Amino acid sequence: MSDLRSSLRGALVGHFGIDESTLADDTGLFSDGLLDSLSVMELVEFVESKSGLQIPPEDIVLENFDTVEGIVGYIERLKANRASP
Amino acid sequence: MTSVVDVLRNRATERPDHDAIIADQRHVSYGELWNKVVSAACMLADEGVGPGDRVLLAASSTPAFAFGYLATHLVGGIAVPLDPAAPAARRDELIRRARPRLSFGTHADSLPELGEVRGIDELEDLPAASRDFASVPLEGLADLLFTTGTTGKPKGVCLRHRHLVAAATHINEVIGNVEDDVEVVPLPLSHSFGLARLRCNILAGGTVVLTQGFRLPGEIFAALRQHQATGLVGVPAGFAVLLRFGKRGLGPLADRLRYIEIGSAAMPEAHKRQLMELLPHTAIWMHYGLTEASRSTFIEFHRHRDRLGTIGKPSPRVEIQIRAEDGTVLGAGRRGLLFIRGPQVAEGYWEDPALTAAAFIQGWLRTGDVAAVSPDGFITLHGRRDDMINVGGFNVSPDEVETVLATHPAVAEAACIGVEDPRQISGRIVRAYLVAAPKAEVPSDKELASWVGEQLEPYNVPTEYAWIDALPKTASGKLVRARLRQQAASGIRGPTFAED
Repeated sequence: MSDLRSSLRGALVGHFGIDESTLADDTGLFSDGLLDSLSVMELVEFVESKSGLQIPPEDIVLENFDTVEGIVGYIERLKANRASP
Repeated sequence: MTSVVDVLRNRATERPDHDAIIADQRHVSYGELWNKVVSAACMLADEGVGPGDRVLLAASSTPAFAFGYLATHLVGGIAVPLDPAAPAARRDELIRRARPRLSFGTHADSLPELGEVRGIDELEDLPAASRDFASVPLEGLADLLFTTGTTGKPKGVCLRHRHLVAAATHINEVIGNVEDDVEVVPLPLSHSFGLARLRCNILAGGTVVLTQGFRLPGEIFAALRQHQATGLVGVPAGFAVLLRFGKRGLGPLADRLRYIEIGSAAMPEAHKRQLMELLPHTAIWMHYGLTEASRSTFIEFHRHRDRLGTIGKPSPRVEIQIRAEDGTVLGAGRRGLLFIRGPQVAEGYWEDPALTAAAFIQGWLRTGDVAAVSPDGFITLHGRRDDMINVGGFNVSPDEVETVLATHPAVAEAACIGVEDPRQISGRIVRAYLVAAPKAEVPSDKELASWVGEQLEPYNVPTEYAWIDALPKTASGKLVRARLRQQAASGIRGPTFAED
């Protein structure tokens, strides 16, 4: 999961243009205005491509997608849920 | 005809337990909504707010916003909604112009020289009150809505109660809203579209589910399913986000969603067709309107699938005319300036007689849009006569953005135009052409974006920046924005112009 964290941070800085010095794992990507609604599609696609999981539309909420920590935690839970019978 | 808040008064008696607003799992019934509005109105009255006084509401879409808005009307005041995300400079400017008796924000604040801003949540915790408030006169001013103007200064559109009721009545007539409708509204109540949905649903006795925008669509999908919504409204940029999820997003809602209302900006035809495929049984209404002339035309996509390039036909009791520059009314097929007349059309701008006289002419609104009408009455827009840029439903004045860009030390001159959004999301984006100041180091796009973003709302921030040697100008030195648009249309991003 640290792979996802580091590649996510890399994409947020390199692709989404967020200043690395302002990006902590608990920085609010949307609530602090670093990303707008036009970026959510790209962010979801990126997370799907890195995790290999399809994200249910209803899960794309602030709690799961507002921070690097939140995204990593959400993918962990999603993987665990899908792995359990 | 009675005002919206007076309709609410009746609804609270007739169907007090029916949900009026749902937000974050909280259900506000019509009875509770009325009680909260009365409590808030008592508070406003006790603070001295009376007929004609302005109340600023700069807060996000919560039930408390609705309490403050409707209470302002109940005491005869004028509501002045403002985007809570607006930069401080914009907020301060509007406070200076509107001179509100009371101001509400997302949080309490104290502004030097401009007075106190109260937290909107204060309206949640007021003691129950009972006081008889008289019916609201329909002639009274209800809303003062500031919208970006062509001169760069926001125009304050003045709407009377009768304008609001007339618009809500014809919208409900077109869409067919009923009291069993449950509608998801992911639009800010500080924006005229969102606010109108609140009024339409109160008039119909329906339920509004407030969600916080389209930026993270999970909340919308969850609200649609959880509340078994029959309606969804939004701007094209929002639907572009929802369409990204294809069948797994809107698909499961196909049998339940009775209607959709889209508006405030152009929508790519591909998105219209995608929506029609995903929702074959849903009435998909798209409107054309202005803050000054709410919902002046409508088109339903399925019914008029061969006319998707048009904005449909005039709403009930609304008339349109196409006129030449000299005022001559033009016939079918001729392209000219679009004028609108109807009971919902405003009559003037706040404290600006010159602007009012230029736009409101003998009962008709001169829209600034160029259009043509087909022989069978469908209206097609052919752009704007002025330079306004519609970015995802928000009007951007290039003058205003240029003024801010030109204050950057590295920028000698700036000119902005609207170009098609390559991502097909917000319709248009702002492209800035810049001339560097002598010996200046050219700043990054990001630095310039921050520069604009600190002073203007986010939608004003240019997406593209092109550095050029000189701006195209007339002999008298006036910017020829049309030349930039022509170059952009031919695919040239960074032209060099000689002064002519």
